[in-house]
Amino acid sequence: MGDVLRQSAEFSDQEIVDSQETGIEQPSFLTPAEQVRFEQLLAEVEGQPPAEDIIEADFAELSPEQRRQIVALEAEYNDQRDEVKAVVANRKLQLLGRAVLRVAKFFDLNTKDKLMTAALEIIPYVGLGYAVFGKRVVIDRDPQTQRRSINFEDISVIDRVIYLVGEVLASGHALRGALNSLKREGMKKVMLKAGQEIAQNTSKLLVTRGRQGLKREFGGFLSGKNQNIGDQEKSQEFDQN
Amino acid sequence: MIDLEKLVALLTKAEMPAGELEAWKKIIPLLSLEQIEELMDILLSEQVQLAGLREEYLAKARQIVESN
Repeated sequence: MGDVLRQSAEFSDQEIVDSQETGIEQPSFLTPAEQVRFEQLLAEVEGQPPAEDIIEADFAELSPEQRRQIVALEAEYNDQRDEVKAVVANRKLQLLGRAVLRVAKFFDLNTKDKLMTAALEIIPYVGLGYAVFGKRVVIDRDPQTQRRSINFEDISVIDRVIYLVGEVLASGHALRGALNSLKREGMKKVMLKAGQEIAQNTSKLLVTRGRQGLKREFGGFLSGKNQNIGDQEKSQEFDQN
Repeated sequence: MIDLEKLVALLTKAEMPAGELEAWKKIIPLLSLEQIEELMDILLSEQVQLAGLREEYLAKARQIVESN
């Protein structure tokens, strides 16, 4: 069953490509009123015990042969139930996977390259690491076993320079700053600060990409709104003049 | 339009750990209507299959008990 769960939790690159090619769907969701009703209904049924069928028989009064048959029957029943549950768990995970993929697509983080670019934006000095060590982290999928593995990929000298220049431009004198911080404040404080910085950068990135996602999916509506705002600004400028 | 009564009945009758049920309660409002319908199909099919297995099990168990 563990294999089934693992397999279903993994998504093929083909699925990612397919979702890109099919374009952006416009799903509808529960309305706020429906969400409230959903919660009310859940609260109403909470605590109610499920109905159970039972057979009135004392196991101790059964003959050894009957007991053996009942035990075998139960084992068979439990195996069949496990099979059904494994299939259902697989389908539920696929459903959740598609929901997660949709969120990733909304944030424009639905391909390996986009995720790696985002990592560069989020994690301080990751580009410096790529530049210094000449390798970058890639997540690969084995076409036969479908298992994902993390590998280090060699990058070209040009890429290393690009990473380095990008890092220096983005973070200033990154290496010197990092070393000075380590000397001054110790590893624990530096790591804590880095964690805070990653959290801040992540939220900035998600806000930016969330805005882009909204613009992409509700572009017409937003551009109309922005146009109105632009018109207002223009008219204010005109009034001032 | 989702039949919320049916959704809640399917969720509460489903054989799942309390943690999973709590998780679905939080996840469902985030799912699209199409995905909620798919979830309902999954839960319904699970319950139909499990009920069938249980009926079969009970019938066979009765036969064994009454064969004394």
